[in-house]
Amino acid sequence: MEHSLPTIANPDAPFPSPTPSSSTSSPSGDAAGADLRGPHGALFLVLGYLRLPELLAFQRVCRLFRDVIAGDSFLWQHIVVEPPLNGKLTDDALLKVTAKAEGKLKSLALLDCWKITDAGLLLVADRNPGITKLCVPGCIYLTADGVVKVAKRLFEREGNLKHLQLRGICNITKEHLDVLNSFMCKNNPCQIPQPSFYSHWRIVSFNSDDDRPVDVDMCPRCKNVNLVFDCTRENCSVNCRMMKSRWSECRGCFFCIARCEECGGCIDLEGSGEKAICLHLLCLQCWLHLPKCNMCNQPYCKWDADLFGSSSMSAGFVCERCRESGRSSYHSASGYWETFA
Amino acid sequence: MMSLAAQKEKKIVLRSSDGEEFEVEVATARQSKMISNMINDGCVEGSIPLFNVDARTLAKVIEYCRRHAGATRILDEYDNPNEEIKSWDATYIDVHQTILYDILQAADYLEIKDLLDLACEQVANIIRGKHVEEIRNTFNIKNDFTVEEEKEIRKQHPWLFE
Repeated sequence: MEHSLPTIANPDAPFPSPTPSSSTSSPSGDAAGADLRGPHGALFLVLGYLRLPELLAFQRVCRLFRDVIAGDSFLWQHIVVEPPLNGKLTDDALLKVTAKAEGKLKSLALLDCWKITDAGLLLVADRNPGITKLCVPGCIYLTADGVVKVAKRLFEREGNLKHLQLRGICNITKEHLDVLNSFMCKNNPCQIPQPSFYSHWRIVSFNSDDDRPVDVDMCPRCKNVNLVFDCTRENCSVNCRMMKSRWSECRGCFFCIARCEECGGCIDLEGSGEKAICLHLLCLQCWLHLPKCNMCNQPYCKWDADLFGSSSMSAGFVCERCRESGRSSYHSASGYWETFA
Repeated sequence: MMSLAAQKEKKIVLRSSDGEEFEVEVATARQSKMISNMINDGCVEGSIPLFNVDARTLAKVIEYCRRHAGATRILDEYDNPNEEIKSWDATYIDVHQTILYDILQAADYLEIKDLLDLACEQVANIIRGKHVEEIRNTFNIKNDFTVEEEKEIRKQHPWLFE
């Protein structure tokens, strides 16, 4: 969350005793536990850092929090609805939650909120014309036309919309995309689009600073609108030379060009593609560098290495799969998995 | 050795609310926007009294500022957050709730934004995923709602309780 801090500590908020000065200067021990009635003053500074479920929960903790949270529209200017609340959020609920921003909603992220309709989103846009960031990935009830209408409305009112995330919305066409792009960044013209990398996309979430105004693009190969990735290799000489003879460039959507899970570079599946234990694809260069399992001589990709603990990133480990099969039956390192593949 | 370092860089004396004095480097002190403004305005003769921060908290805050004053240069060069600093921060902020509150309020008072963010995120992490009753227990907050008020709140967001 990107809040500017001074406004969080609303000076008008009815701060309870102990006041900040008395609690910080008091000897250890009494600040947290002594006053069972009023919440600690420090907690009020934290409200701006809470996500929606916790903010809603805090409202029900005691009267003081209820009043402070309800009275501070600043706390509601950046709203993120993600699992497990996503499936519960209806249009009505969305309107109620966004209404707390009192028309000053700045960013709205709805992740997989499949109950939200075009009409609901349009109403939110109507009441909050200053929205700068709108993320609706996986909101499958929304239509491309509906999103265009929302972007148009925001454009006509204040024109502050800078970021739009639409992946997962069906039937977006090139025409939709062109219109959407024309509605973005009315006040400050958009910069040259930054390249979009597959490996980067895996790390970043919706709330990171992606410079591109719209997350989806038209794939130069299949002409569908989807997430499109550039090659991470600045001078893609190894793979791309082979690819370039067949394709014009190694830019394309997930379905058209296979990408290395480690570096995001393109993979020529017929030539230098390798598999990790987790069945993710790796380019030969990354495959060579990664530590391999002692039994099956395959590496984990870095995402799954994190899942299985740091030991799998050091040399000489035995992967989860080999350990499992070693426990249950005789396991020969070579050929065992191939029989099942 | 001390005098050499002192010649190289001017030091500033901070006095805690309970009267203890801490000598710190200017770069360290400047991590606090409040103190940095005071330095710019030239009002740092003698020691700076910090009425809202006790010695225990101040020592802890200075530890943070010193680490980050040294690391700023590295962070600038690489642009992306340094992993080492991140893990240092994580260890640093893993403290008892009482101290955490003190650090949080001191960071707010001294205007050390990064430390305030770090401390607030830490408290937010403690809260994450907790239900109302768990929050009350964790932070020693008494439920002062009447039954009617509780019903009223549930009515506001019926979708939460489906």
